[in-house]
Amino acid sequence: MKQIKALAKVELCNLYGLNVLKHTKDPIERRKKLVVYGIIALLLLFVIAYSGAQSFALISLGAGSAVPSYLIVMSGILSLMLAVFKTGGVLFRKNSFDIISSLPLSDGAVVFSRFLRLYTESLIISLLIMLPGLVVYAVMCDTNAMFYISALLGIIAAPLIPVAIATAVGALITGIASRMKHKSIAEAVLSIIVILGVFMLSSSLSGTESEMTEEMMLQLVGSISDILGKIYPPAVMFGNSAVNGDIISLALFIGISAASFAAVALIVSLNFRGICQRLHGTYAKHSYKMQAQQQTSLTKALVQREAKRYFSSGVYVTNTIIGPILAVAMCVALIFVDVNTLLPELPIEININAALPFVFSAVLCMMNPSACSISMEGKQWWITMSLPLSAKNIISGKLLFSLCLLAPFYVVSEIVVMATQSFDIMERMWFILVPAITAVFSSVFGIFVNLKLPKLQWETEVEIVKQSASSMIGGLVGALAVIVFALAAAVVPSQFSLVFNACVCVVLFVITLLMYRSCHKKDLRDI
Amino acid sequence: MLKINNLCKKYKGSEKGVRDINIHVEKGDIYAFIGHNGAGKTTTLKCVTGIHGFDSGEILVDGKDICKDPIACKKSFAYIPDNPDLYEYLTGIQYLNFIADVFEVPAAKRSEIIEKYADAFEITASLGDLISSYSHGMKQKLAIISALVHEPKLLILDEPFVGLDPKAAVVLKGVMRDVCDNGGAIFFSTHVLDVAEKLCNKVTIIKGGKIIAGGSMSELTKNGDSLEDIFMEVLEGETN
Repeated sequence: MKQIKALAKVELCNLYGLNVLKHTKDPIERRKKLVVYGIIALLLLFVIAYSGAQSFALISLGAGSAVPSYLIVMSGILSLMLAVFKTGGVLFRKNSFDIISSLPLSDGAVVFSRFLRLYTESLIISLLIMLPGLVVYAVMCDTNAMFYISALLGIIAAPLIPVAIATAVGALITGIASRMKHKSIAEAVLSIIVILGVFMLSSSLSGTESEMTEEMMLQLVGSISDILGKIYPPAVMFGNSAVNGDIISLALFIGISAASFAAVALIVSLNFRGICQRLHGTYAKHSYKMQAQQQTSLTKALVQREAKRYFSSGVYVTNTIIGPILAVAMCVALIFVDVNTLLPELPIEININAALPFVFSAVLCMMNPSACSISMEGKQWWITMSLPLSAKNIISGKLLFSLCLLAPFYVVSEIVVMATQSFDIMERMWFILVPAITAVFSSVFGIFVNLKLPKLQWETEVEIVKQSASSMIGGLVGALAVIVFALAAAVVPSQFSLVFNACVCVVLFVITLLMYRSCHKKDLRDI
Repeated sequence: MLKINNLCKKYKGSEKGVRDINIHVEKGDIYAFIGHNGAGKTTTLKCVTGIHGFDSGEILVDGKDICKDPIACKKSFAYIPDNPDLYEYLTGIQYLNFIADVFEVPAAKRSEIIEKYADAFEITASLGDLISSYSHGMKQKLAIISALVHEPKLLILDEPFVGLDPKAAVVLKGVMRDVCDNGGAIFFSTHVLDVAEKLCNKVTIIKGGKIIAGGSMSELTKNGDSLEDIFMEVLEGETN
């Protein structure tokens, strides 16, 4: 127990960088962190408001009894989505493995402390989603003492099953990848398959909803608990305990959650060392024979180096390649789905064809790898800085790689769309031009943000790729900006489409140019 | 070859840093920079190599200002840090070729240099392996070869002997002498005072970010005192 306490303290003390914030003497570092916390706080406020509003809407529709189940499903899905690709990096991380291995600690204690970190992160999500919704429920519906007991225990137990599932999937991916030679690529491919599976599942569910009539909607309200039960059976147990005061359901819910968590923790701790050793072990042939070397141009050398860095990290690839893959999938889907059939169901007249290039661009450029390409240099930044490379050289190498990565997805998508869609000449032109400009814009924007919010000191790549401010802002804000253009393009009268699109392209181009120049002038020392 | 004039660098939010550093490294010099942990050696070296900026002063490499013309300066020197964090996702030979590409070293020349030093440091067979599989010493050897691949005029080394096996340390000392014999210069930090005394012709001692002693090795040790004695004496004198 002492071991777990000591390890957990180390695991949790720097959660979300709080320990660094507490002890750093660098005012700039402190200011950057506070800005990031401010952004996160805004997002959290949005989540709290959303949760409360959803509960209010369900109660107003007469489906108040479904609120506790609904909240636990939402919390579970979000926890699962956020934890599933983090588990490998948190549980089996390379950093400090040798030191931890040499200390008199049991594998169980190490695994449990790392689980505790995953659990704590998911518990925060549960609190944020469930608490506001349950408060709304308590205010608007009749409740008794059992509701409050169920709510408290439910929030505490809610993360257990999602973390267990996420760990099982993450460990499976990591375990399979650890047996392969190219571990990072294998990990990325397996992760992408899982993500696409989740997307296909969610799109099939939303497809059902979009075809619903009003009558079906009323039926749905009546049987919403059944649907939630099918998605996540423990939700019904929690619902029963919170709404009907069923103590057995509560005991079952907590029992199943704890048992799932304990079972996965046990399996992982039994296989922990084996997975870590295979994952962190390196294979060396010691058989190189000196041969004539070849000279490469500076630009090619920098781009190749970027490519090797990129493909060496499973989490980097997984997080950033999913947008381009979805963009291609979207173009293929356009062959089978006529988007114009959606028009009669919408309250205002919109031009979907005009919005398509922007929507495609936003998906293609979502999570651009350039947004964390500087931070990913980490401790090796000294190499770049001590070499005779200008800021222009360094930034161009990163930009070119980002564009090279997007290029095949862009080309395939364009070929599919041009060959299958009956667009007129102008629509075709915009479908070629807008994504091309957006790709350049998002790549430059990513670098620009990363130069403003660099983070070269990190323990795991997950911190940079999934949790850093640069990754969130650089990877998503650019895409969101393009989504705003998409919405505007959809409602602009068709006679003004040409002017609107041209203006957007010019604006994006000018902003890109200004950001590119600003990046070149940046003093890269001491970032 | 290297002139550091009145260098001052202070870290934000900290009292740490260096002040009024003046060092002149001339052609043919093997110049030792010694001091205890946290004295400011690495900070000075990182300012010289353009990794860190600085608050005031001037750093000239081969007559060129590191702030005004960093690319030209960096072309004429090579730097090896105390902890060689190299690109672990590259193989040794890929890393060397990357560095050679940046310095635009012709193919034949780089092949010759890599072969020469890889054989001398006995890591030729490992050059095809990923750097992540290298030990600390092997990474250090690879970093040294990468520093030599473009035949720099000035070598800036931070604790270069840490992690090296005895044979590699001997090879490195030979390489350092060769660089100086060919008109180059070496500026390096070290804790190994014996090595500094035997290898260097000039030395500077730094404490608390400030130079407290320095000069030619022969002058400092002319009374028969070892560098270790002088170092301890100077440190104690400063403390009192």
